[in-house]
Amino acid sequence: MPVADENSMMLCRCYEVSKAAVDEAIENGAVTVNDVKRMTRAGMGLCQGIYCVPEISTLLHEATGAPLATIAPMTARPPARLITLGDLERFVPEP
Amino acid sequence: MSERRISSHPLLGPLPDVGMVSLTVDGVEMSARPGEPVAVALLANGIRQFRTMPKSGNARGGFCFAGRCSDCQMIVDGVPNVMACVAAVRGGMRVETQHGVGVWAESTSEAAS
Amino acid sequence: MIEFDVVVVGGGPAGLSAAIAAARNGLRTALFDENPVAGGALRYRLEPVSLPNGGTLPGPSAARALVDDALRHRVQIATGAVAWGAFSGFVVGVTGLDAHREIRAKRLILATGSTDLAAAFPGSDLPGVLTGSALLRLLHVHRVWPGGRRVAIVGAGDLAEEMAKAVHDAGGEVVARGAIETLAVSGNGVVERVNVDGVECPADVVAICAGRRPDISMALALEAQAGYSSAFGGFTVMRSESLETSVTGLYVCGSAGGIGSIASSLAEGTLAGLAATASLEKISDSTLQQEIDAFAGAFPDRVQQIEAIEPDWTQHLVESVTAGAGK
Repeated sequence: MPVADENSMMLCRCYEVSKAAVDEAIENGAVTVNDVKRMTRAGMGLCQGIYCVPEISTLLHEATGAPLATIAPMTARPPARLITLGDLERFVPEP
Repeated sequence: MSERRISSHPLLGPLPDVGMVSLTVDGVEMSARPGEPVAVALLANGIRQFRTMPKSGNARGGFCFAGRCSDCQMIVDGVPNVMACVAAVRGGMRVETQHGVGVWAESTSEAAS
Repeated sequence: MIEFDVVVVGGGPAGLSAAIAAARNGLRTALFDENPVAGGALRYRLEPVSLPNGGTLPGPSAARALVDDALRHRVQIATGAVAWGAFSGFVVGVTGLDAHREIRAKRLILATGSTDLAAAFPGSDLPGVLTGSALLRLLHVHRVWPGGRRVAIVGAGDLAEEMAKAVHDAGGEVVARGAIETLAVSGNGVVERVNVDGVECPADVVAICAGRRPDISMALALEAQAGYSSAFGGFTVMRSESLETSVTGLYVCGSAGGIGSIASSLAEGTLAGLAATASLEKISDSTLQQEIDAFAGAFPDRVQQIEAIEPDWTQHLVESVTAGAGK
């Protein structure tokens, strides 16, 4: 059996948010992925939740009983990848 | 060092020879195939830790190798937060382990102006 | 400003097939792939691929053949080009191009592929733990071992079997295979040993093969409707039989439309390209219908799964966007 503390396992690799921190957010009233993101920063990092959101959704499903089909992924907004302010500056649609 | 590179493969064939280039990693000079990702060059040279994380100080060594996670961010030619699995090796490149959050050195802004 | 008839995002088997289908019917077509070389998963998956023109080639060679075909049909391919966003109209934001110009598309085809499912377990952040596709990419594209050749393969996703063969062919050793639930990884700064099902052994690499999920963030940002599909690996964009999303002129094809096979990605790409072509009236609706029927005949299960997707949470998404707008 694994010896290490299961609750120290990192769900959000980018911001080092542990399973324990996500569990705490759920205990404190988080019901959506966006709630967990706002309360723990999980999902705000470079990968924009691509590696942690499925696990967070599963924990919400287990805690609230809500079907996975109703646990919306994080709100998706551009940019979908890491870009610079220079990239945004150059992206100005012509009038 | 050559055991880390896969020089022959039953389906892919032999790894073609190329003229190697030099780069420095934390001040130590090593050779790499030009154009390969910096993270690959480091792995080929036996380096498995690319950065340390801000909260825990734990070292990371690459997870996705596809430019999606934050494991391989390094300082390249003075620029922090460069994804080493995406950045292509150039001869003379200066690579440094990034410790924690990326910080821009003051000399970088001088060089840009 | 440069306007294309069709812009394809993603240069894997689906994207390349879509671009070829549109371009060979005379549409002005651009394809953007973020990697230095196009091909997507074909670059690192070595099984033979049956191409529409009748040839059978290993993945990397199939990729080259598709790129050649696309170029022959005058698809404008940009590699190292990261499409980071798309806005209604369609205006596409791309970084990494030599010249900076506003890119517009009459029709937008997203062939953005899929991403590995990660897993959290004790030691999951140690150097040496990586995703299944990361290890395949290191072995087959970059020809390098990440620190050592003793590999623990964990998870029962579709890459797990392929991974064992890939490790052996590259001169490595599979030291353990098991479920993620019983896994613990340890070592001093790097992976040194794994504990799987209570059995401990030395290891250098842990490859997570827990399955994959469609990459749909660009489609969601354009407000395409999506629903949950466990068969497809998670939230999946809703599509008509011509692979058009709920946003007119926006198509999704390949594993971005649900985890499947390379064969289904090639076929979906062609279908989406032809659907865009038909909507711009360069081929007839009956020609498109033939292609729709052929696809349904070749992939009946997949078509059934596509039809089964229902939006359960789109309304919730709209609410949360509105709520967040005031911040």
